[in-house]
Amino acid sequence: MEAENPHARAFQEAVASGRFDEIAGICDDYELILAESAAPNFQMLGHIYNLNLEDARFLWKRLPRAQQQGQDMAALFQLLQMMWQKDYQDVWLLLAQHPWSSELHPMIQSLSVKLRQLALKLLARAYSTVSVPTASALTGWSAVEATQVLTHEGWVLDQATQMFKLQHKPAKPDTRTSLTDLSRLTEYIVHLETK
Amino acid sequence: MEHLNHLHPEQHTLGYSYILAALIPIHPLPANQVNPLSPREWHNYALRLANVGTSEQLRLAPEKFVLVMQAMVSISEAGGEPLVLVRPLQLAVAKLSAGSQTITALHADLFKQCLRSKFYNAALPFLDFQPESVEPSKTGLTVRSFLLFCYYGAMIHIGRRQYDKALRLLLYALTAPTMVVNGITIAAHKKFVLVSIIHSGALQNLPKFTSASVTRASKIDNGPYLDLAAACKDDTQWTRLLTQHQALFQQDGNLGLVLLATESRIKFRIQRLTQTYLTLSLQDIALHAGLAGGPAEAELRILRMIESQEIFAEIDEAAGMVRFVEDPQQYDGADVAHILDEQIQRAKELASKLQAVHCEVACDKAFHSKAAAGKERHGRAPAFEDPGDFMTAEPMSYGNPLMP
Repeated sequence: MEAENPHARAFQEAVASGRFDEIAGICDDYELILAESAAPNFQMLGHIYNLNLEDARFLWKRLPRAQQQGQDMAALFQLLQMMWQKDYQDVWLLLAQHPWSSELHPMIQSLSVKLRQLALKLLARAYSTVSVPTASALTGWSAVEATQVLTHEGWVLDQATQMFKLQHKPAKPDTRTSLTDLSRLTEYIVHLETK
Repeated sequence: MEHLNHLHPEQHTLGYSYILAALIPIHPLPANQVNPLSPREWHNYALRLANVGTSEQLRLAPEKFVLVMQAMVSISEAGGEPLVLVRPLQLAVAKLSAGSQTITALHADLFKQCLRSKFYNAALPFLDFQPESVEPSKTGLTVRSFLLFCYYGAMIHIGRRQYDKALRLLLYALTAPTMVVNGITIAAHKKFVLVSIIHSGALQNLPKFTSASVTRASKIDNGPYLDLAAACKDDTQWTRLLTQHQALFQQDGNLGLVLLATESRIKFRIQRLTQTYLTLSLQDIALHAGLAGGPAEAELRILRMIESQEIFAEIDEAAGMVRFVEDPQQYDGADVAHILDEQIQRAKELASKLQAVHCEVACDKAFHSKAAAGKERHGRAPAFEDPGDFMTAEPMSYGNPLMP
């Protein structure tokens, strides 16, 4: 995108300051004005970054053939397919091994961090015991790295069976109802009861 | 024609709409006639009107504005490139609705271009609201454009896998009061059958207040779809119907949805297991759900379902067992209180709106003369509809607000 117009400026600021969640919106808006995508790679990655896989899929479908070409775009499309099919392990391989261009690189890094957090949460939610290979496949870490991180997250490795066991579930943030909420709900009930 | 150059589309929006509506190029032209403006020139004028016209003026003659916009769409459609139409139509819809939560005649045109250009999310700002009133005199809304609003809007939600929202829109179309059934309603019913299988694993009943003619016509015209829904839990029957009617589904453009429904049946089979068992081995799950891939596939499927919060379970990989647990949401947090509060506020707003409509009707001259005429004929006033009828439709329109 060339500079001078507000969209290009907002786009560059978002990229420079790492506010990657705004990129898809800016690109979409600009595409509506130009009637073509100005930065298809970023737009595609932006939707994937926001986990809006449906919108990424339609972006791919509406891009003209010429813009669907290119190494990064091909890899992004593959990434989208893998995430769409919840093909957990291959996502990590692609993210780590594809030679991403330097402009996309910081965003890919940030996406990896985000996906790892989600993977750890999913692991804690879905498993009570999990084998080392499964844990490492789901989080994309090597067996050694996975062991380190998981132990830190409250998992204990049983040496005999090579299985992680969840000792204590990660504490949920305290979201108890406040007194003001309760008093308001009480008012509603009293009002309804008296009718 | 030269008047157009004397007028400014922003200051003279009303006049501009009228002149453009009168000059719409005719195609194909009868012999010995010329269009005063070539389609291309006319199109550019119409674009200017969409871009800078003022909302107050164009709402004075909505039918002219809608006519111009729809002619603009059909000229553009002939030239391809639906993407160029999306922005002008977004502006046009925003102006015609003047920021209120209402459906305009142009919503459907916008949605259609979003679908054609595959820019589904461009429709969202104009789709994600709960319409409470329609003002045909200010927005040019017709029955046809309302039905198309529901149909195209539902297609956009389906494309974005928002099946609960799609079902709500399809129900709007199906339950619109009518004596004569529109083709759009029948098409909407086909989608409704398939989407409700995808979303809830079975066909949802149409509400009581659906027009009798719609219920009847959908049974006659959409037999294959209803047969399929009835065979939802029977594998051999399902496959047989699928091969038998494949050509029909394809022709209706619904084959993709049928395949999604086929896929979702496995999901609901696993979900039903959670209602019966507390713990179950992966092997047994694979067996019950008919998975070819054995325990490994069962584990992956369970994992995926846990991720999308379709079931709540814990996999014990060491023992190869799955323990089904309760929804961890205890409905005691501040977030739930907040949602509850919001819903009560909404209900209050809705009640006051209903009250306002009630007063309006009670003061309406036409209503009174009709009521009086009915009284003379039948010796009593016509009974009001049972307001309880509406209750059955409401819960689904909210969905479960706690689920993402």
